[in-house]
Amino acid sequence: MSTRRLLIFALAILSFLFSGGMAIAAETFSVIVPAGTEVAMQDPNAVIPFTVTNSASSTKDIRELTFRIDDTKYNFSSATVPPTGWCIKEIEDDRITFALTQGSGACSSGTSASELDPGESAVFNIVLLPLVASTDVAGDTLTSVSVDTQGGFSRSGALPTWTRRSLEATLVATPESLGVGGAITLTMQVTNRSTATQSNITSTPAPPTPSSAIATLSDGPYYGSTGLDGNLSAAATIVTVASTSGFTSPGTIRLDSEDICYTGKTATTFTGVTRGCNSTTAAAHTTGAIVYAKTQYLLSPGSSGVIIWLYGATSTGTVYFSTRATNSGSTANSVLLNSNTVLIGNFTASLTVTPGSVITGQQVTVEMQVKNNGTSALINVAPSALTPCAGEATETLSSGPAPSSISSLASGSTGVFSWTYTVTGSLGQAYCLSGYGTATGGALTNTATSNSGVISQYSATVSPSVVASGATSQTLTWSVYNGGACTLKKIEVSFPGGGGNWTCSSVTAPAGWTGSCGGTKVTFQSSNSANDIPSGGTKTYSITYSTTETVTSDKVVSFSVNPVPRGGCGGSEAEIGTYVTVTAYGLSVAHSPTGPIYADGSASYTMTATLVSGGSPVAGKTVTFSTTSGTLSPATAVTDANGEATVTLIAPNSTTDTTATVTASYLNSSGTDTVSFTGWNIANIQYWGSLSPASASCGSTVSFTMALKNISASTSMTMNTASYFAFNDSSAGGSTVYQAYLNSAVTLAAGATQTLVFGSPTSSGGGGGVVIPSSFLAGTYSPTLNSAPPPASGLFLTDGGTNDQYRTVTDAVTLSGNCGVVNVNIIEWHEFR
Amino acid sequence: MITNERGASIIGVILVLAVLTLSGVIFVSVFSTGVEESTGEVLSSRALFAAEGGMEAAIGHLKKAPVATNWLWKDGYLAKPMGGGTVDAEVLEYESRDATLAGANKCEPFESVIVSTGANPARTVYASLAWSSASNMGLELYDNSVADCNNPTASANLIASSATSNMPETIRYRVQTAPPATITYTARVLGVAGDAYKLRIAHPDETNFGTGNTCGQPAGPPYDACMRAVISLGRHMDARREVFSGFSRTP
Repeated sequence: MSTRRLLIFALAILSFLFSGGMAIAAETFSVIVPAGTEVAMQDPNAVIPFTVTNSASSTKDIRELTFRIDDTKYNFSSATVPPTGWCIKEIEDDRITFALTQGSGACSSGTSASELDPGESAVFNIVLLPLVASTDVAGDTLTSVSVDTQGGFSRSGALPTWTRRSLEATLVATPESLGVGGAITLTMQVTNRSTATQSNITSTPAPPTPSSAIATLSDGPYYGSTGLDGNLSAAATIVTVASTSGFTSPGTIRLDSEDICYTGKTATTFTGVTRGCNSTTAAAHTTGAIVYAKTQYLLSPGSSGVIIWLYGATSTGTVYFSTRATNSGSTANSVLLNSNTVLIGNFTASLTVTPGSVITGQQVTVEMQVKNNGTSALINVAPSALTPCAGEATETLSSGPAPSSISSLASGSTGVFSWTYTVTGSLGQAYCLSGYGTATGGALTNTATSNSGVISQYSATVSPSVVASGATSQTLTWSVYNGGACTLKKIEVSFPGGGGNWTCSSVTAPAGWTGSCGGTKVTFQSSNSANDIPSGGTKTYSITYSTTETVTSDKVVSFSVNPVPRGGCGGSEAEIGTYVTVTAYGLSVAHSPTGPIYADGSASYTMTATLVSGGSPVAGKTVTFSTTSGTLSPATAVTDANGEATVTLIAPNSTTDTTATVTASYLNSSGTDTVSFTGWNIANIQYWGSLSPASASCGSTVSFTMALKNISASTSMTMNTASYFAFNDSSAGGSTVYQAYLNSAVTLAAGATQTLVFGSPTSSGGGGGVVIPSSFLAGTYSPTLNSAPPPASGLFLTDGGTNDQYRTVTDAVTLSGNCGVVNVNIIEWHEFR
Repeated sequence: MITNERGASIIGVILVLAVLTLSGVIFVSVFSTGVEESTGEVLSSRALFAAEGGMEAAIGHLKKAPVATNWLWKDGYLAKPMGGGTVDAEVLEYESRDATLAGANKCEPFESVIVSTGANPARTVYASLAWSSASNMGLELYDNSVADCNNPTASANLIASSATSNMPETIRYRVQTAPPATITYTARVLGVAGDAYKLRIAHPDETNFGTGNTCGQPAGPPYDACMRAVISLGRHMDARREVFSGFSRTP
């Protein structure tokens, strides 16, 4: 070969290598995660958002990706939901392969609109189970990410890293709405997910940082709480509480402003106490008072504890709190936590939309909760029209609000309005709404914005969403909605991992379907296309678990639902995450009377929630109530020694029979109870504010005036002089009644409002005022209706029988001056030597 | 003679001195005993004042506003400082079970809830029986419900009895059962048919003790208003005095 030929050959080789090298170098992609990404050990729902970007300089698209990880540190989870248009082709503990959903429903690397073309990105929210270690682990990463087809791809840049945290924690602020001057209780629940005992659990930053200066720390941190069982004198040497579980021994407890040091404890008592330690003053305390732990604790692997702070609300607005749990050496931490948002104001509103995932054309329920945190009643409370907020979906009003207004909302009470909207749009589009509440006198709430929902092709919900720790024979029922064009022939429900013990014992399939228990999942199969879930149809599937999971703190577990369309239609499979909370607490709700009661805006049920843990009542915990109809007064209550928290549900105004579902919640546990109301079809006279005078002296002669409105649309009422207004001092232990009759007969036409005067000593009318007996005990009294007097209370409005009704006056009367006192009558007296 | 006379004088002087010495000793002895008796009486009176002070304090606590809540107070006092001494007080439910015997006896059951909470939880059962009839009457206390009042020991054990010739008959019993416990006792009145009597029973609160005009368990007549009793023990140094009072309130 001549030199010339050799040179040409060499140049050709170099040219080939150069062009080939450039081509190889052009097919690159990158993988990143957000800065500061962190997950908690043993969290079965840990999600890491990997953003995969096909370099703009690439010449090929990405159709199949495999992520690999060290399975001694993490396991990939089948609960992973792929990006739109993608599917999970294969999954093992140490790897997960995504491919494209084909028109046939197959999951393969065939070309598709969802492939990642050069310059495009997609976020792969991969659910993985972080395995345990003794302390936090920084710098966790994948072992590799590869493009399995369209050869020649190489990854640019380093693999992303994140941190694995040892502590799992939640941060809850209660109540969710309060007035200026009220107190916010912030509770962090911490579980040690590491293999080592972690000591001196605290928070960083300490205290948690409020998002706004409208809340300031007033007390804490405390490391547990319970309720005082029985009054405690300043000299008592044994402190009896509902439970000492979670309290260190020895340790220090806080009761009101007194520190009490103790050297020992039993299940329900603190012993060896030193009253007024830490330079505080021994004092008497009332049964039910909250007992706080002041001594830090250690957490053995798997155990849980709480940290509590108290904040004062100093101004109106919204606030949430941020912090993370940590141990003494900051070697074990939780992920950064944000609490729920708290509304501060005299009149507040919040909005929720459910469900959070629908198919286009499906209806959603929107609820607005309004709360009166002021000192006097709010009259004629109504919601504004709702407006769509950010999101591309279209929300069309179907019905609501129901009720259109609440005639009177007493101080401390909560009311609710609900709407039904139809959501339409494309897959992935979001929906949410905003609005506010109004009341007579120009009162306005904050403008509330609901949570966001998203349109999906299928939807699946599970019921119940909360189960008790260690439940056996627990049945869960999934409702699967098909919003796709194809029928669904198969539904797979996978069991949660993460150390649970979910054992399927039986299944219940819809007619024409079969199903059987499997080790890790249940597959429900349609026998033929006629029995499939049709487009726009819903079917339910139940699985009974003979064993579930035992937890020491609330835990959310994931059940992945996989709908499979019938072939030949072009439909696609999907992975839908459904979640169930396994709660360490049990919460049940009961009501009294049995009912139904009238939906007249005044009648009421007493709702009692009972909180237990391990079968024992839990005292000193704040339970939050909500209702789908009517008003709650108050909306929160603290459990007593029997674990019971009680509130009043006041009936809505309705001309038709209706129901209300009352939900009581504590942390992640909740219980519900449904009560019934009978429609009120005659004249409906409601207190419409302006009670005057609001205060009076005992012994004085008083006539009370107030506005009343007939909210009936069609029926008028002529109230005769046997109608009365009354209140009594029975709430203070007295037996004195003030009762004033209507001065003269008054006709209230339908929809009319009028100020009436109650100042007649007898039912003959005539006015002149009625003496407030001097035997009245001084105090503030609420004229709540008593439909079975004596003692008389509230309003009794009569026209001789046709429209007779008892009504509550939602404002109060304060009596002072030369009022009655309690006298003791000695019956027997002995002296002994 | 002169010498003898001098000896007789010495003997007389000695005798006089002996008599004076003995008188002095007796005087001092008598005087010091009186001081001791007087001091003991003073201490006893101070203990009584402490007991009465404890009674007043307890009643004051029970009737303070809001009485609906405070009337249910039953913590009592333990070693509460009072006038230089201390006082222990128990707060009890007080029932009036006045009736007339239809036969030779009548049984009145009453419930007591024994708790551990409070400074000095109630442990005392105190029953007194007075009558206006000429015949003598008796009182017995049993530790359970009595199914057959003619044969009480078939269903309960006799705890104490009082069948003196005097009036009133009283039984005071300190509950021995460890808390928490709910115990039904029975007071059994003995006499002859037609005997009218006044039976008052003070005991730890019933399950449903409240501020209403009837007691809790067992419900219904014959007893009337729910009332309160306090038993107050005053101490002053070594002296102890005790006061008991049953009372009602208005409103």
